[in-house]
Amino acid sequence: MKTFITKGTVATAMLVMVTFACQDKFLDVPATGQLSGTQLTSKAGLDGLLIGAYAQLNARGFSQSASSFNWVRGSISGGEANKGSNSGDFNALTPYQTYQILATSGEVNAKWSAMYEGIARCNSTLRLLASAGSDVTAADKARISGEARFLRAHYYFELKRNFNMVPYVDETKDYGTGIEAVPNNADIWPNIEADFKYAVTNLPESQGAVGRANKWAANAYLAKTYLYQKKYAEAKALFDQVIASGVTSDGKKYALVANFQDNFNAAKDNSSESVFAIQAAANTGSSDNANPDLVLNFPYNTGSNGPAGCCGFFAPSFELANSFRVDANGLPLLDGSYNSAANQLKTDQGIASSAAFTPDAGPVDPRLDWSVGRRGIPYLDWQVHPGLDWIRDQTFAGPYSPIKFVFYKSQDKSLTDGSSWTDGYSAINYNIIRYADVLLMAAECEVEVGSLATALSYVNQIRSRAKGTTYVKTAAGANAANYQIGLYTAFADKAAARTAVQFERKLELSGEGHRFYDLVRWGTASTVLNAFIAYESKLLPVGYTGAKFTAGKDEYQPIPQQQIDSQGKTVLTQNPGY
Amino acid sequence: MGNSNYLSATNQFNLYGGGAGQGYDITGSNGSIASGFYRSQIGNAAAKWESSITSNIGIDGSFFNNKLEVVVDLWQKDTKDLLYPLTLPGVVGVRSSAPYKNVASMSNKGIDILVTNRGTLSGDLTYEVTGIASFLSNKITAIDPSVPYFTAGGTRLSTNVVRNQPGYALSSFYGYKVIGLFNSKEEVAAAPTQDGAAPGRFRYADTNGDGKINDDDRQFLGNPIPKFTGSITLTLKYKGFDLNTNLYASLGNKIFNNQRWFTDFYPSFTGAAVSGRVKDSWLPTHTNTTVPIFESASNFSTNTQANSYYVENGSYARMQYLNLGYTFPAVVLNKVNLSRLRLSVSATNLFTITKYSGLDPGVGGSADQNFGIDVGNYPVQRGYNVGLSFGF
Repeated sequence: MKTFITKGTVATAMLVMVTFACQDKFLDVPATGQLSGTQLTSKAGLDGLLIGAYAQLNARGFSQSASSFNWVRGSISGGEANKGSNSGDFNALTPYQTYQILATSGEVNAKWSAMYEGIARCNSTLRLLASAGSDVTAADKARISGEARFLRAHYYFELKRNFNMVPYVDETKDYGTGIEAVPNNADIWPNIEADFKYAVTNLPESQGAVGRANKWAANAYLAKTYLYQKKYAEAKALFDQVIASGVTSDGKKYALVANFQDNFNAAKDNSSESVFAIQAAANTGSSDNANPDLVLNFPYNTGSNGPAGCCGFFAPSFELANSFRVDANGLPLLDGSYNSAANQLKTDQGIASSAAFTPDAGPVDPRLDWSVGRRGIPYLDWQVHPGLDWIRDQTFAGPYSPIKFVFYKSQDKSLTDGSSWTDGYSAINYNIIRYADVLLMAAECEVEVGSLATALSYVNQIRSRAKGTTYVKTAAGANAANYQIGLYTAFADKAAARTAVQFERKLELSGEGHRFYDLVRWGTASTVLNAFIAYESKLLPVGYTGAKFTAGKDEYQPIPQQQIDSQGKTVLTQNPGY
Repeated sequence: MGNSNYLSATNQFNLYGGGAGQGYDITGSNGSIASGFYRSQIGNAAAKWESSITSNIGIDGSFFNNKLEVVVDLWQKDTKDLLYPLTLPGVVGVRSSAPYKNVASMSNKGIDILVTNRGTLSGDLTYEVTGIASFLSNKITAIDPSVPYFTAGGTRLSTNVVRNQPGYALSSFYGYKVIGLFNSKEEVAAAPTQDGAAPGRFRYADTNGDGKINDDDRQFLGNPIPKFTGSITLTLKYKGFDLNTNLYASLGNKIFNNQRWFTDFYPSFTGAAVSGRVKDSWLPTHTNTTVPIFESASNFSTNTQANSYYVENGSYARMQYLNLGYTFPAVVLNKVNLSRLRLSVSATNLFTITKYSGLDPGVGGSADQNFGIDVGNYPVQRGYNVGLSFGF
């Protein structure tokens, strides 16, 4: 009886509620499994949004080619490497080595979409920061907005140098407030500069976490932005400060590390040379944190005595390997004669692994074998590179393997993520800017508006470090090749200095996604790349079929057709030539 | 498109989410991450129910003592405020899923006819035949003013293959029209400029006649909606025998045979181009063919673009089933103490008449935005059954 009364009471109470107390609020049930507004605007929530913005640096989930690493556009289009593998595998990348990129390419659309996803996350952070909760201090706001704008500037920098004309949308524009109507008719360099300047002003020198951008990273990136616009004086002034006083986010004074190859070793990440990096981590529950963009770039079919075993992509070019040839003084052959019959490196092209082969005995820069994997030379701590057995299709890809972002045998499964289909998911950071890059960019500025002597000293710092690096050794402890490297004594004139600085960039930063953009900003892309094609296509005729760099067109990728189709031709104008 | 789709209760909200895949190793630990959030869904608080007006005029008639039945329906269904999640432009950040919006209006018009005739042919031989015919016309009549059209569907090609645009049927195929293969370098030189053009490759129509093949030259290439579907069901009975069969036909539709990307082009997946068609590939000595040159190149003039090479006539007729049975008469059964005994043989999907080159012209898809795209669906199987049923 008592139960009956209780039920009746509840029923009556419910009836009363329904009849008299029902308001709209009654229907507002918080969405389950989602974050509420107050969670998002707390300090932890805003920091989480910022982390989400960092997470897009490697363009996870879009395409390997879309990453801020730019190994496809920066290095393959730059002639440092070819697509690799064979002609069929992921051949959507092949047009990047033949300059036959179409507006309808899914890769083009992936780069565009990945970078705007990063921007959307920065803008989300900035929008929600405006209604920050009470636990967010003024210092927090400065730091969070500084990092968000730093990242936004980075993503726009990527869009600018890949597409040139792109729509600029900031936190005031969103879905439903006209974002799709913003045209690509303005130069966005001023917007990029403004964001980096804001970051310089608002970011601290020292950050609680080493992966965060700090004031000095912003200074270096702002200087790089000036350099891309040929504003040498502004760039030099900033580089001077960065070189004199710059420190990493954990307070280490910027400096070159002792060993060149430590820049590509997960165990040596976040060194004094790391100005701003994509932080990679293995075994975190998602391989998207472990360089998903680089997962194809390992020797092919190595078995367990080689790294990952897949997929033979990103094969260094003949032309790049030859560039490491040095003269009697240990200096590079700046006249281009490194490709001559007498100087080009001896290779195992067309030679089976079972047949005898002796590597080139001539003098080479010691950075060669930390930059290019080749037959007969120890390949990290795995084994001596066996040549053809590790190459998927030599006639398409040539004889070389990538090595810079390859993990060591001793690190397999600890600094690589074994949870997925390949061990190629590694924890090696990619430095978007490393200090060697800063010195070489500063050297460019010195050549143009400063002193040749200072440029010389910067270049020689790079070369001294290369000289002092631990060379690749045979099992017996001898140098694996005839390594020779010397310092420049002087630059004869501005032109000679420019040539030397540019060539040093090629040697030091090969395979790090810079080269194509450098050639475009130097205005030498057409000459250099067509000469490259003329040489390389004789050795790899299949891969370079139809390759030709067209000045005035191929400096930039086309605006993705899908975006023009989506937003309309009145909003998005296609780039010239496409 | 439509109400029939599940519309999430959260459609009105901006949602933020996270997970290991959105984290980042901000501390440089090499082995752990901080959680990251991102906007996983954009909300639309203004979404409302779709509405539709259906008008219908019908005649049901029964003549000659029910020997002839006729049903005729003329109908029109106009639907507006169709709900659809428009593809977001890249600038918005495409990791957010788009909200359902009331974006489109659509019109469907049709005539449905059903005729049944039954009677006796002679003596114990009786028959019943039913014919069904449906004529359908579908057209998108309007789309949200913020988008002139939206695209969907297809795999491995550079762009989507479907463009939904006012004035055209739902899921219309869109791309370049192949007007033949280039047969010589001279022909390439004389033709409008086309990326990757070479002998043996596709030659596209210069729709706007500007001497240059580009995205402006794409056109509608047909749609997968049959103009006519119908069937004939026939039943014959003679003493203990009965025969029952059904023939189904779908006419006037196109299929986008996306499989051809895999099976007809060498570089798509090296080693996977195994269709019999490649034996008929273009050669300088064999130019009387529609199958392009078998080569390693992959470009605008080969396998990368949505074009009419993939679009095929999808009409077909299929015998869906054929059953033949014999029921033993009671006088026989009584002698063996059985109350019922029946023997039957039947076949399903006995034959299909079609010019379609894929595995099966009965191609489905997601009915609300793109269908009729064949990405290698399983063909229907032919089945044979022998039956024996008896009762004591």
